[in-house]
Amino acid sequence: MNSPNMYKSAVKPTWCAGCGDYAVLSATLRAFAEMGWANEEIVAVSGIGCSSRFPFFLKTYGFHSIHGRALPVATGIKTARPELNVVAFGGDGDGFAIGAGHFVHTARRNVDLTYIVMDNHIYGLTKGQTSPTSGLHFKTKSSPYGNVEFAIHPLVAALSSGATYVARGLSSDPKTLKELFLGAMQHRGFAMVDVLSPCVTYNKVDTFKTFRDRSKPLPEDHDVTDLIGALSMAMDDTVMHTGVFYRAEKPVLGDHLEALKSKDGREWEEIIEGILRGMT
Amino acid sequence: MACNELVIRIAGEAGEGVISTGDFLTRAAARAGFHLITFKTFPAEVRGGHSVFQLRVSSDQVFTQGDGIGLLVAMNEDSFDKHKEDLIHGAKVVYDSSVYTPEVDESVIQLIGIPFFALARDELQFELGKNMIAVGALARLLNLPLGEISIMLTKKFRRKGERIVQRNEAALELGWEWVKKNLGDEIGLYLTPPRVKEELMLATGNEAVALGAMAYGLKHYFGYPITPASEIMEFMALHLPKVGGVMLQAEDEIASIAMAIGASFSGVPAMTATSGPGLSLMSEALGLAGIVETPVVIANVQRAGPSTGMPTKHEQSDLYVSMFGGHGDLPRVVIAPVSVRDCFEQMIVAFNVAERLQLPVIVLTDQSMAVRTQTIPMPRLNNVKREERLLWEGGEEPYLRFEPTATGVTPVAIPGMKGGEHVVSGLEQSEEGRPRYDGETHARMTEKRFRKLKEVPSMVDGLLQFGEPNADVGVLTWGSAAGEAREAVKILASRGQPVAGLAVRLLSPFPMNEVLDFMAGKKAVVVVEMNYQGQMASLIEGRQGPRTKIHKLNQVTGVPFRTGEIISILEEVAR
Ligand SMILES: Cc1ncc(C[n+]2csc(CCOP(=O)(O)OP(=O)(O)O)c2C)c(N)n1
Ligand code: SF4
Repeated sequence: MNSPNMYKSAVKPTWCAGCGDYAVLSATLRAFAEMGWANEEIVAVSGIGCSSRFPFFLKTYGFHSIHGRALPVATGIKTARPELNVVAFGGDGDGFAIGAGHFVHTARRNVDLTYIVMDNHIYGLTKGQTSPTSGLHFKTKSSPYGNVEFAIHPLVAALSSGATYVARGLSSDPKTLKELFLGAMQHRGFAMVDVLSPCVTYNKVDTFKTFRDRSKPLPEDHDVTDLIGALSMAMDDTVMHTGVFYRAEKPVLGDHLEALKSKDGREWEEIIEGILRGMT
Repeated sequence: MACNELVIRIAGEAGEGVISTGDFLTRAAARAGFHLITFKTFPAEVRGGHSVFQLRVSSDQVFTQGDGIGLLVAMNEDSFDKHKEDLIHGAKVVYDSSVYTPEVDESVIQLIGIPFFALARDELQFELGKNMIAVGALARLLNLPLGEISIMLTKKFRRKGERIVQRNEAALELGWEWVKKNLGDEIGLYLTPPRVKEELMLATGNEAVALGAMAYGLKHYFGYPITPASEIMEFMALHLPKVGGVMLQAEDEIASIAMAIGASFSGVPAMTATSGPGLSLMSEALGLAGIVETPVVIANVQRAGPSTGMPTKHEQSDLYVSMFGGHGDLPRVVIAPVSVRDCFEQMIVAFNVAERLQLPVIVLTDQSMAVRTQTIPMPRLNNVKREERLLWEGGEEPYLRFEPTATGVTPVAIPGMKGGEHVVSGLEQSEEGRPRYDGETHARMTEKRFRKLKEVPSMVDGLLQFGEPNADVGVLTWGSAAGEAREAVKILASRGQPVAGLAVRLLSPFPMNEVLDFMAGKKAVVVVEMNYQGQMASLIEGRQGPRTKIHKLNQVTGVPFRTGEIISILEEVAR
């Protein structure tokens, strides 16, 4: 088996000591190792944020793009080179605020890629503002009197938009996290894992402890093929369930695009010349 | 008697077959080797309203759709009234004599009455045949090949059954025969056949953009619908899968360009196309392409702005956003084609520049050239010169994505290449692609990215000269306004008034020295562009020599300049 270390770059993570994202990194390295992927066949894509620094810490191809745009960049890569293993990383602000539009559309297209969100309910990189997953009344620098908005349900958004693998994990439980990542990487289709990954510097409310206290593994008998069941679990505001909510086999975007391509064996020049002649 | 060229306008109620009559004549003329430019307007409503199809046919190259009408085909009185003002002295009017008779001064305008409706009803018992009767009659008047039209007709109506084909065929012949019998050859509308008969094809500027990209070898297109650029996306959707390519409609323009950049990062040429509002949305990602040094081509089809502006109307007001839009010091190339044919050619150039220099290239076209159909010489694929991205060749040394080189261009490792693993980033980065915030690295890397621009002038035919270079008066322009300017200069030359002309194709990096050289010593230079601020003129104003006076000809009426307007101002400044 490949060693997790072979996917680790020489760049030391810039995260604060104690940041939840370290556990996501080590779980990712182990999942890569178990997948047995060649380094050069992996492309790690991200937006902007503390969590989006991820690609720098991997010894793979990487694209640290702009805030909120990891998924369209990843879609472009996967569309052009379906044989590559494309994994996108980011934060809750990156994915569910500025990038929310891309998130639902990437799910809808069922692009064959893995999307790992480090969800700390806060904006880390910009030093502590309210995020779309911050709770109501949560006080931050941008909501000093308490957050006046309700939080988004990322998993519900993923499920209702057509994601075909939807899971939630905790960075305090790296073993399970690795399993969830592995499942996502093995899955053919848009696989999203929302990781409750605390920002120890700017979020004193959503900590390793409170995330653990408020979460609970999905019931043993949870049926991962039942979309409505998955949705109701994801909607549950009393407890944040962890584990695989939903898994489905569905054609991926690449399958549909491939099916459109004509395979009549004609040369490229001949085809273009045919188009030109049709315009006389 | 025969004529070298003619501006024909067909007008009628929507649903009267104006557009299809125009299309038949256009294709027949193009197949006979005539050069032409067409212009159409559809009413906003699906039914009802007024339709216009204008075609300028010539035995020689044409630059504009033409100012005045030489032949008006008005199916009803209302259509005649709407267009009579545009008739030139000596113009001819074809009208349906079974419907109305236009009131004109017959010493100036020649009337040609043909009872289209009555013929259809009485001779064919087929009222809908009126349009094909008109096509047949006009083909005879203009001396266009009937056989070609008959082939097109069969193709068009085949799906509707043999009987429909036959009825339309009969109508076509009836129109032809009626003119032959009743009007003879005396009308004087016979077009002189072109001197050199080259193989032509018909394309809109949008189609030419798409074809140019495909001729380069593009297989990955990402876009979002927007008037007047959507046809590029639709063309790609229809044709790219045939060459094993992909057109993906994104959720917005930010996604389209991000997808294109992603695809390009993975090693393939990629593009998107849009219009002003979309380009504004793309500006952050444009900077990303610049800093990660990923080739991408963006065709921006200008329309009237700002904001949503007038989506279907012509303007050239995106020069600033194309040249300067986006934050930071961003290396980019902006190329503005000057005609439909140039759209095809400059797209190939754009890909060559983008791929070789690893940067974003904007191809700036405009509504006027995007939607009009024009004849262009049939492109020869084996004449297309393609430049490809410089790829990393592997080796033992650690790969440095942004290693400095003399040209600024660093060989790229693309995913899949073992040992070439690296990260690119919108953050400033070191040679190996690690984030760096020190000023020294930023200065070094910015300079590296801009160094690549030095090669641009040798790769782009950045200036189009026309007219008499040494004339004391000049006209300076860009984009489709070059068409009207060239025509004006040609007409003035035929009247013995020399004018120097220059159309700037390469807008960024702007060829300032060449433009100043052009202006040097001239008494007056008129800068012609379809925008309010004089966006190009403002770049050069104040830099020219003491003798030269700059006059700006600007217009924001949503329609192209009339050649006459350019002629007037050139005559005025020459005095
Ligand atoms: C267009 C744009 N707007 C704003 C920013 C500033 N910005 C950088 S990261 C970020 C949010 C980070 O939060 P999140 O995505 O949750 O990641 P985290 O840092 O918490 O891991 C913001 C607002 C930016 N880089 N670009
Ligand atoms: S600021 Fe928060 S999210 Fe960012 S590295 Fe530090 S702990 Fe992690």
